[in-house]
Amino acid sequence: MNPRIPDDVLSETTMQLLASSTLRRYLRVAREYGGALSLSEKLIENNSLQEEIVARLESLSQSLENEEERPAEEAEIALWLVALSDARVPIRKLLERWETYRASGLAWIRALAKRLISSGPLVSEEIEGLLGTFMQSLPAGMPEVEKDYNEPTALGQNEAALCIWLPNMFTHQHLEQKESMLFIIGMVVVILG
Amino acid sequence: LNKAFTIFIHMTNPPTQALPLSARNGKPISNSRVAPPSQQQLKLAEFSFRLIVAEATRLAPPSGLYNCHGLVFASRRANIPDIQDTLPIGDLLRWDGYLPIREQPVQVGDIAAYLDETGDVEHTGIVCEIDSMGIVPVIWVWSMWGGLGEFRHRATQSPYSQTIQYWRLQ
Repeated sequence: MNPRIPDDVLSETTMQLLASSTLRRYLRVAREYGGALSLSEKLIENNSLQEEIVARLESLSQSLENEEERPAEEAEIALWLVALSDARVPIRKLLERWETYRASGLAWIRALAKRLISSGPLVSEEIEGLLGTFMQSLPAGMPEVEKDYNEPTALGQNEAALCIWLPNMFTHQHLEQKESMLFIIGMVVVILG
Repeated sequence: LNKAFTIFIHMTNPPTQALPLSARNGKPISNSRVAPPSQQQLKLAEFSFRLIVAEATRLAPPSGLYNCHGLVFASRRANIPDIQDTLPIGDLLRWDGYLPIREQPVQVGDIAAYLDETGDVEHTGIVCEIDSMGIVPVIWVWSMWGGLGEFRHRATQSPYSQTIQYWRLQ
């Protein structure tokens, strides 16, 4: 068991995570209990701790890949993933690995990873870089647009860029609902490019 | 051929997949069925858990097949909503014809909805008994605590919020 999280907190967190019926509550529980231990602050102050925890989570991601029941390590994983994300440690690849696992025992961790990937600063920072590349690739004469990515979303890179490019036509939610339109727009961009 | 088709359907539709569910008004209800907690995970939760269940009665074992809303809205058949979904349970109650009780006393069969700090429903259960302690009613609720199992418990004795709103079928 990870020595940095006291057993009583792991027990309480496990119980509350198991009692959760929605991802919203699940995320709130992980954030509350991690916050009580100041996990994010500890990660920000200590780079070697970041490396140690990321290595630990990578190791767990390999050992639990095929779990068919919810593993005992779920609380530890949830606490650290949320803390790392809140501390803005770049863990997108780690989150994506958790998100791709299809073992039924990892359903909640998979959903959590997906939510963390799609939420707030993690996405915004990556979209900033992506947007620059994308705008440079556009032909002259394309309309100027405003950037707006306050809405948490789980868009892929191309979709995200298109979403920023066309904010007046689509919000992120609309984009999810109008996948066929997205395809058409994507084709137009490819042709114009 | 029929048998082969049945086997094919079973293989392509394992019991973890969602069921076709809809509310009274016909709106679809997202749902899923996930893995149960492992024995090690339950053991880890046990220390905190036993303090809460001291006065509760366990009615069914831990499960990944249904959650509290699955017990209330889907006869134990699925988790509602799907883990990835954000369906507001207040909306689902309305779709099914429930309205919040304003001034009437709570009665058996009402739905106890536990509200989080933002007013969203984080847990539901069914009122199964009402005792009286002097003039104060003691409300007992039958609910599924996530994947931890079903319990008959006092309304205010659970892992959930203490803000409880009661809803009644109209």
